[in-house]
Amino acid sequence: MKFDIRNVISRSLLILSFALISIDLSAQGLAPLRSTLSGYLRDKSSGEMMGNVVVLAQKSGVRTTTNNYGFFSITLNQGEGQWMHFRFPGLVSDSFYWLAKKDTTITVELAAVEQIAAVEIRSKKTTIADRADMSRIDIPVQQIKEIPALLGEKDVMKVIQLLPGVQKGGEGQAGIYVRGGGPDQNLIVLDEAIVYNANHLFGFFSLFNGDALRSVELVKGGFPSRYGGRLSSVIDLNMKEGNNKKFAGELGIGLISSRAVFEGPIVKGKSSFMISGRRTYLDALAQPLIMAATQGANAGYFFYDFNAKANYILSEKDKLYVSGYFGRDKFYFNENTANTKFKTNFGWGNRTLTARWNHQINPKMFANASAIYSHYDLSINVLQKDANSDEFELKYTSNINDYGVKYDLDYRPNPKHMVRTGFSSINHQFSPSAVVLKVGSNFNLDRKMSVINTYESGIYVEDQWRERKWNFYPGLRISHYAVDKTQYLKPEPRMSFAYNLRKDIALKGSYALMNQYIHLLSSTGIGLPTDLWVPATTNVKPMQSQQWATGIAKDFKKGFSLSLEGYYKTMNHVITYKEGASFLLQDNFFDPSVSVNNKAWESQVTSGKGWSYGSEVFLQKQVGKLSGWIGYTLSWTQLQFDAVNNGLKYYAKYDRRHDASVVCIYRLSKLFTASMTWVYGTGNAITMPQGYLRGTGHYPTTMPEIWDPSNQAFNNEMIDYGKRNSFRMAAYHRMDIGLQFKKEKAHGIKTWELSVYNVYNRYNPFFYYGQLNEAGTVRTLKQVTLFPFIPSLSWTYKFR
Amino acid sequence: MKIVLKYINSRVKLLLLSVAVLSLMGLGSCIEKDAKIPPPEYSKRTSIICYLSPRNANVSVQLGYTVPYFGVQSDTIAYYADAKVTVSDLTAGTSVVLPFNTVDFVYRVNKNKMPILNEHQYRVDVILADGRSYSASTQIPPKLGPVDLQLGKFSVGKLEQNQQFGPQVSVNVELKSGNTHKGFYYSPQFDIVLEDGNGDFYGNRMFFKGSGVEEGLGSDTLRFFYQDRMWLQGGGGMGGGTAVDPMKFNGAEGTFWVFDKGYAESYNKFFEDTGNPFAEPVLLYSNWSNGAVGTLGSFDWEEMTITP
Repeated sequence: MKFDIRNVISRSLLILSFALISIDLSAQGLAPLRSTLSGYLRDKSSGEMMGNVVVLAQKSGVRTTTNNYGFFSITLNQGEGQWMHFRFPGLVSDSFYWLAKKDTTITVELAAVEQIAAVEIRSKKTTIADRADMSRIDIPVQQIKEIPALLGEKDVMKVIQLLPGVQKGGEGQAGIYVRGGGPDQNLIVLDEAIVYNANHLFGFFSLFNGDALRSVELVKGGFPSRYGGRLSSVIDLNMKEGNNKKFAGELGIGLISSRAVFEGPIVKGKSSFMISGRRTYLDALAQPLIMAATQGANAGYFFYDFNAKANYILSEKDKLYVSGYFGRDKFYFNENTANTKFKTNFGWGNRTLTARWNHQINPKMFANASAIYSHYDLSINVLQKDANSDEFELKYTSNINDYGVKYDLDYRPNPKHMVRTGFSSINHQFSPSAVVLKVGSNFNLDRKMSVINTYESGIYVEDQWRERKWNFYPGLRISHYAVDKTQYLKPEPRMSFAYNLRKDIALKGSYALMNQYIHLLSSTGIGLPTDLWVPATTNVKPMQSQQWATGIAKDFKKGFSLSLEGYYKTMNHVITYKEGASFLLQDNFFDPSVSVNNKAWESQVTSGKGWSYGSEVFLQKQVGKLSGWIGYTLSWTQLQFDAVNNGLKYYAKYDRRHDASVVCIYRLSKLFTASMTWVYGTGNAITMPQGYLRGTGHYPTTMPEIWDPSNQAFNNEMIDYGKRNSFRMAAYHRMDIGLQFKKEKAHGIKTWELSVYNVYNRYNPFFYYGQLNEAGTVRTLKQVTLFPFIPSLSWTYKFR
Repeated sequence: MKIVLKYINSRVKLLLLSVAVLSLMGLGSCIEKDAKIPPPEYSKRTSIICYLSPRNANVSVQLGYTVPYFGVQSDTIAYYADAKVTVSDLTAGTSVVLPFNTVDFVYRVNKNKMPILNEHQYRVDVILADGRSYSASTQIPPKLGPVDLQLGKFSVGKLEQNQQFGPQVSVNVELKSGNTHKGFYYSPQFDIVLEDGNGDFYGNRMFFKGSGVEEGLGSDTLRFFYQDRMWLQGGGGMGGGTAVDPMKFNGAEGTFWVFDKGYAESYNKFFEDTGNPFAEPVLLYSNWSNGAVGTLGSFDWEEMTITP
């Protein structure tokens, strides 16, 4: 297909402008004169801007929500006087009476309410039946802190795994599988920067420090068109802005790590900062044991991460934000003996940096421009020197660099429409692998694959359109991707709707088409740092999914809400390694006479299709002494590749027929909270040996007569695995409990937390293998379990 | 009071210590034990292996079944001796029933009773004593001529010295065939010979890209590229001397193979199964009907000497 990208973009912008003007003109032409109330909503205690707060005009029922930067705009008929209310779980503000005479700008502050009192307030004001979108869940950061976790390490990804439609990969792993999608199909963005590997310690912990987060949102279907680039989910995380009123902070000490967060004003009321960090110290604790066990070797593992954010209010209409993340994992092993010096380390890490400028163009229009940098790298270093100065050195690196720009515009022309539009563009720079190998002084190999540059762009428009009992959420995204001389231009229509049968019951539906221009090559499927991110190319097409979902949402008294959703998703051009293939990228890779091919991996993969369908039940209670949820998912996920399983359909490893979770948080008093989680999941589908085939093999050779099958010369024994993923692991289930004791001090709150992971000591399988008895006559199935009953204790001090 | 506080304090410390120890014990323990679920269900699958070739002295069919991976192990050969195995030449319209050979545990006849001819279509039918039946078909590849594989471009670099690995030289050789057929697969299996300035010879196996098997191109020319850095075995060549420049390509000897799709796919599966624990398992190949595993393949080859 030949086309001019500038032409496409200019036409898209023209259509977009026309659509915006039409909405505005129609509103002006049909409606009486109006006035707009706009402004920002802040947290009273910290001064932070607050997103997703409902702004409601009581009499007319007109409502809107604040955007991520706390901005809202609501337009009413001139002359109308109405009580304005602001709603957000756990926070409350004074309502006020606004007479719509002229455009007005205000800043509203919401204060935290005591938990007990909040029962009444929140139970009246939290509704899911009122929302047009579906398959979207906001996860309160406070709840993340109250849910028990492995070794007391609070983990947002582990909490997301407890939601319906989301499955975890295996014991302890932070990788997530949303509605049949792989772990690479989740768009994880931290302050708009893509995070490629969201795991520490091979996935046992995620890299998001809960202390540094302000909001977490999961979208698993009915995607707003402002999101693109992944098939299955969006996990949108925003860092705290920092308290701009006073200095505050929190210190936490756990069994394997400690953490700290500090925030405060730089110029009071004008600018603020937040900085947080954590580091594990397993390496230091275990050092004496390791040294004793290895006779003096120095080995260990640690990870650390830092989050930092600062903002500056330039004027009433302009704000600047700069935020960043830096984290790294490292394994090391060093040994010095009389004759040999051996040093090796294995590390990986992410870096992100986001700069944003908010500008309120007019009372109805708000813009944000962002510049984004994201980096992920993996490195392996081995050095060995002996007494003769013979040296062996191996360095392996692989990395991705992203440089992106983004522009978003919020436009609220009238009470019926909330329009968002914008564009984004990212330059992905992939360096799949670079190897330096030195053996002695004469062998020096430097094999560096050239950088693969790709450009991924998107332009979008979406509208939240409210019409009596109907809520529509149409959108269109046009994505463009360029690699080498190949270009892909793909429209991505999106649509959600809700119809209110009653005020508290809504029928919902959604459709979304998504494209993904990046693949994760994984030979294990569990998200190891050695998994390789590779771009879509001329030969390996971008992945595409279509998802249809329908459901019903119902609000009950006392803060209960229930949603039932069913979905059907198809996926095209998903890739996997061919049978027998692995991340050894190229034949003769270590031969300097063979040129390095940065697309050698293409021959190792096969592309195919996927199907996922199921239904989800989500009963939630966000408020009150007892809060939490019960989630249940019934689902099927199948894949089909020409070069795998003899071309037949098979169940994905993470196909899970039943997946259930129960989360309870019980606040006995202001100072004591008890919590419990229970999870159940059908076992993973894996491929295991079933039998042997013993027979005569045949292959070509320079001496064919030796291998003549009639001579029985070549007896071959091959394992019969049956069909791909035809064996089910045992079901996974586990209960965790946590107890938090708080004590108010003069300058802060001290919290002790005792938690127990796997309280009834269930031996969940991590993997299976076959083991022969000593005589070699009987082979049995063995199971390896990682985490039995594990108690942990942590201490936190929050000062103010 | 102080004593009470001291007592409580010591209890708290004890609790903290206990939790820490329990936690680290839990974290550090990786529990291996018998699985509580039954092992993967073994299904007894019929296996049939048959490679037909004009080069074979016999027509043989190996008929057996898979044995369990878990449970009691046995090294005995699992075979069916009471099946009816028929090989038919569909092109000539002839067929023969193969008797069971109790020495080699295969069904076999001499090729005089069922000649295997190039380009003929054959079908193998197997009927077990319990009535289950399986069949597969193949076409024997066209006969290769002694000049069907020829030398294309080639180059040999200068000698390079490496203290640890000895002398080495880079070699590039292109082999090409202009007489290949679509639907059949070709594979050169050759040993290369280099000659040094002293007239000594150095040999090496030629490995081509991937498994070294390519599908025929019909009218176009099929090419095979050998690119390697040959280590000259610590300086000792076939002639026993130390390699000296100039190194030159002396020729290559071996066989040029051709096989049908069943053979090629089965061989590729064998080639892919490297035993890499991080790779996805390679499933057994089958081109038999009704769920039997194994291969009906056909092949031919021609010995050749390639000289510059």
